[in-house]
Amino acid sequence: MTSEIKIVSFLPATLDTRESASRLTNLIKEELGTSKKIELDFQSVLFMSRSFADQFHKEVSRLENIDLVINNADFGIVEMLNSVAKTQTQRNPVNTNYKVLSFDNLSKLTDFSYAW
Amino acid sequence: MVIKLPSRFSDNFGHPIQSLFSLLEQVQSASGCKEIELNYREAKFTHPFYTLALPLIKKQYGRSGQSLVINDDFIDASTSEYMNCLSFPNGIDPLDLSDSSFEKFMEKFQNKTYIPIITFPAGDGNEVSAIRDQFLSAINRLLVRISQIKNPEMGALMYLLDEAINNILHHSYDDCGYLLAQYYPSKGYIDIAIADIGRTLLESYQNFDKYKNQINTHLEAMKAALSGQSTKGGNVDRGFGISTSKEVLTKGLNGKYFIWSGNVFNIHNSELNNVIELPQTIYWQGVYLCLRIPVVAKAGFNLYNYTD
Repeated sequence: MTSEIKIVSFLPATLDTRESASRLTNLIKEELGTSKKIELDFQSVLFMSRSFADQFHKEVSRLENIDLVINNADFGIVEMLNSVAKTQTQRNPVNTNYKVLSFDNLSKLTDFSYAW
Repeated sequence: MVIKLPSRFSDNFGHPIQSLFSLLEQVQSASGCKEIELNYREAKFTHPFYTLALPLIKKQYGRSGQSLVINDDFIDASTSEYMNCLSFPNGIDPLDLSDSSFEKFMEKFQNKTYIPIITFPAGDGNEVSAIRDQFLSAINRLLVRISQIKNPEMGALMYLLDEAINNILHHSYDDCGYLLAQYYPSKGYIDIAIADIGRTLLESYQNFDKYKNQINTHLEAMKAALSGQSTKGGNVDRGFGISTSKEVLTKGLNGKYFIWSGNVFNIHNSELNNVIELPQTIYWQGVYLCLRIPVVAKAGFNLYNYTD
């Protein structure tokens, strides 16, 4: 048996926070009581944040015996899910190419701030 | 004690920020006075980077028992009208609005170029987080409508906003965060200030045993945050927010990024990336973030090249 969850019926059109990802996985868990195959319909979802994607990825990967299908997701949603999947155990080097400066009074900083 | 605030700001990204530093220096010098008045009456051209800070400074100092008042009896009628539309100084709290009035409230801004001061709840409860999600989504969609941007810039704008707000929600340990945005159509960018007056980055790191002996100054905390060390325990799968946002904004969009916590800030644009230590008296309790987001990205921009 298959259950379909239409995302925008439960969550806003932009998926912004970790908490909303947890709400979605809670809903999936409820459906898993009756179906092993869950279809998530992303029709009309405009955006998925990295935080949402990361939380969703973590929580779904802990579920056992689930056949999850993602329907109608646009390019950005798929790419975001791919991004977080790649960074669960390793990450790319971070750009730390910055200079450290110290100012003991503000007047010295004033001229400098014009360059911002 | 009366501190007269600037009447106008230039387009320069650093001007309102530098003015904010000066204000804090003056407030600090005056602390101990029975009451400090921030006199904003002569304001003619305000800026979100400066405007958002004023009620937060008042609240910060109020917590330590220092009385601070904002004189917002603006002389200039158009400034008065504009600041009233921004809900200055108190802002809008979505928890004070019912679902129906919330929708109506957001509709008012569809044809404007700004989003007023929003006080977004940082609580953990299911009801609070559901309201917050609705509100954040509405802010995202409203900003997109106001600036009329489409993908890939739309995705970048939402990414930057969500990362900033999620960082505040999970690190500040305060009751709320604050946001103010202004779109400048003729200049082609959106200026957004997002802030909290909760824990500093240093306090966030020191909450974990792992970092207690490693990160002991605001400078070390800022360096750790910029290098992607998560304040949520240091796992490899967390701590992407600041580093990826800076890359998206400065490399992908040619924008500008400023983050301040304690007495240390980072300013990053396409030409410079500096971490700067301020005198101890110029101190932000919490995190203060200023983003200048161009609405047209560099040719070939793809948000997802920067997110991992």
